[in-house]
Amino acid sequence: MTAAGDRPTRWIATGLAALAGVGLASVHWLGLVAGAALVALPQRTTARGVAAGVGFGLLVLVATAASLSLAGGLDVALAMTQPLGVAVGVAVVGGAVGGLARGVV
Amino acid sequence: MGGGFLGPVRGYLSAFAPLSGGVWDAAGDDPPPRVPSNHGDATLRYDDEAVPRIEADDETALCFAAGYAHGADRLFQMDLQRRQMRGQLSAVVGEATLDSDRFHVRMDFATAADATWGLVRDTEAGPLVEAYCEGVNRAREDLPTPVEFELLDYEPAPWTPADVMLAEKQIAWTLTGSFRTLRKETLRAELGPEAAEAVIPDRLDHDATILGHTRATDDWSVPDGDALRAPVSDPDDDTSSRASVATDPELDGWIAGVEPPAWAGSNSWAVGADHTDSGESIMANDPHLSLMAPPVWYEQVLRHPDYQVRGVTFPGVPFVIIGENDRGAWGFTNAGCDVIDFYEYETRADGAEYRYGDRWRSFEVESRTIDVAGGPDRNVEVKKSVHGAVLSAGAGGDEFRSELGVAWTGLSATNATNGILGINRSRDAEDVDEALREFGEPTQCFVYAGRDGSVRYRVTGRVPIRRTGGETVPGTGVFDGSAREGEWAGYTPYGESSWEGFIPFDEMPHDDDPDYVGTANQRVVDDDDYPYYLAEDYSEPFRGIRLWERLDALVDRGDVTPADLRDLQRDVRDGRLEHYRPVLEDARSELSGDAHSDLDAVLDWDGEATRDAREPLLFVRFLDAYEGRFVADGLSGLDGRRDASAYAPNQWVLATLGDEWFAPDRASAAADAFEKARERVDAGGWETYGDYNRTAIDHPFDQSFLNYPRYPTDGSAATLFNFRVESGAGSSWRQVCPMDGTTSRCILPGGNDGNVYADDYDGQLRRWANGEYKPMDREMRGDLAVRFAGGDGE
Repeated sequence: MTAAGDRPTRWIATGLAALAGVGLASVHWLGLVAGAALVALPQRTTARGVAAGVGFGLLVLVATAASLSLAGGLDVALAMTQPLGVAVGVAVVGGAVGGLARGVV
Repeated sequence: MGGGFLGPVRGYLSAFAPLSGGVWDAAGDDPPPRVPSNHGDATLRYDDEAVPRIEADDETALCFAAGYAHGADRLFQMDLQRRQMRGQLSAVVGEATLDSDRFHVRMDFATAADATWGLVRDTEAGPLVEAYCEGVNRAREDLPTPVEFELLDYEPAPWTPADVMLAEKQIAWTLTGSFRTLRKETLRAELGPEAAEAVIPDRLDHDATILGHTRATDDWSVPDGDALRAPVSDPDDDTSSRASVATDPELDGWIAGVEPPAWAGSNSWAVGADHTDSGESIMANDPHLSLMAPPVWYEQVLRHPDYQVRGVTFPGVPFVIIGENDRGAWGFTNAGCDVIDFYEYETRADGAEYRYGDRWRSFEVESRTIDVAGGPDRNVEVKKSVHGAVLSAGAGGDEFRSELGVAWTGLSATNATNGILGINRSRDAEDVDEALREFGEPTQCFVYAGRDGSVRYRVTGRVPIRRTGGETVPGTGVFDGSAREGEWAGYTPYGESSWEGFIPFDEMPHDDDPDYVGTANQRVVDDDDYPYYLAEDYSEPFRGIRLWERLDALVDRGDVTPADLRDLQRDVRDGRLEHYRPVLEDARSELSGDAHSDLDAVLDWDGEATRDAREPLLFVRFLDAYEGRFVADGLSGLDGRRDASAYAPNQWVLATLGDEWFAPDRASAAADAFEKARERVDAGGWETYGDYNRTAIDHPFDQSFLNYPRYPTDGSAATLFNFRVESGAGSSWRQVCPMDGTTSRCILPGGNDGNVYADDYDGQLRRWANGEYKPMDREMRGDLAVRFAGGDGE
């Protein structure tokens, strides 16, 4: 399923995977792991897959911030120290775990 | 419930995961623009203070929409209050609330609420309450779950009519639930009757009664006491010749921990048309309750073709409780009536049976389970007698009383719901009088001003006439329930009462046409001027004295304006200074250096508790230290297992206690207290009163992002501008309502929307702290949030 050797195709696949992943992550926390797995699959190596997964987690954080900002709640959310810490942890760890999927295919 | 709330929380991931986490979802809680309803059309607008303005041609549609707004803005607060009264807090927060849950389960407020709904269901209010609950539950389904539910990882159950009734029980219990009788009996038993009377006297020496005040309420019609078949025995006498028995320290500790705070009070006054600038009456009210985030009150405007009403209600209750409609304005203060009694029993069969007169009866016993999050569930035995709940703890024995029957009017079905509905609909003072006949609880001082120039004052609620045999007796001691002492005729706990043995409505204290009236929880009426036993005690009169002083001056000057009454609500003169002047002067001779200078400054102070002064800071900290010194010295004779501070006298009484209560004497104790106050002020780093006297209004979770910001403010526990920094209480709503057609003014200590993400979460707090107001109009303005459509409005 990897797209090794075809850089533009990999980028397109990664972009589409990220798009689908954000959709999945907005429904359930497992969607974040699944999304990270999807963006990892087009990468050349497992290490790059994990990095892409973490990157995807951070992307989901940015999407969350954007969503909160649109709803006028970003400043309050940034004050929620403990929930925010969990969210960042889930994004990074969940992204990394999902990214490991690159190593099993 | 403070701190470390993440510990017991399950489902971190579903709550906090980025994008999908419920905590983040709550930021977007805009309701759908169109909501189907089975009750007819209605519109819900929010103004720029997040106050819902609801309009409908049908009252059920109005109530459905009000329920929707409450469900949208305060659902967690409603659920938390319901859980407290049902004894279900531990199910979501763990063992910390077990004592509270045990108490509420054993009092069985839930069954009293069921009985109340059984009474209300088939009245005019019944369908409106049901429509309201439907509205709450529709919002619960339509909108994201509030943040707090995500943090505690549970889903709220549907809101029910019994929950509405339970909210009534909660405020009634907060205002009239008191174990003072037991405390005084314990003092009698352990320190002697003279000491008990000195520390907790039944009456305080002042002349600021509500009824009988010269030129204001001195022409009230004293009732003739028709309902008495026998004169009330002397309140100074014990209810029986039995020796006083102290409450078991274990039972004492348990109930002291769950007892409503004694400070719940309020101010309300009205000035009649003859004394105002406009020639129309003006009224004002500010109830003093817990200051919470979100506030204890929810503000709303309801517009119906027959009436338009604005004011505040408790979240979970559909109708405006304090406010104004197009024909008048009203408010409440706590009356302090005695509506609770305690009974002991002769028992047999290992305590399963009790003697009641000539017969032996079995206690009603039922086993209930309290669910506990993160711990084993607990079984609780709910026990009842003919009088109501039976509470017990400790080993008892000859020395202590470990089991007590509790009769409280609120354990019966009551009908405050129709009373409040009637006031919302009222067209004149006569309508209000009629509505108040229904108002079974809590006992309150009701103040009304109508646009027709009328002014009313009345004590509401049911007050029992206690009888032992053929004699009426005061409720100042524990009764022998087996000997049928202190019976309340016509009272049925957990069922419908006839109230036949209670003070008749027409004989409750009232003045149907006062020139002006001032209520601040002081004594309602002198005992010599009223035929019935009304109250075991009343609050300290500092505010009441000051209120009459200023109202008298305003009326003497004439042409009273709404601005005058707003100034009166902002009055910060602390009457405790003059009351404690002899104590402070005693201390003066014992002090030297800077302490002496500081004390002189306090003695020269004008008593105005303003934020920029240093003297009130020293004075209030002195009072705290002096009380602590009294508890250590004067109450050292109490059983060591008791929390002696729960037996401290009020601050009016404390100032009157002399050398015999202190070691070695009062002067040195006061001097030590003043030194201690100075040390605490230095340790706190406070320069002025405002450094210390700051809003500290926190969410039950006590998380910084949910708590309100801190602002310096004025006032104290004893000023009309009421703020009690140590107990987190004060004016929970302020309204000043002129009847001349100009706009009334009001303010909440916080924001109307309980969603932490909302712009208005704490939007009014700074203005509240500064004594400012906002308009209290009843227009249908603001952005249209929801259009409710459908149904036939039946």
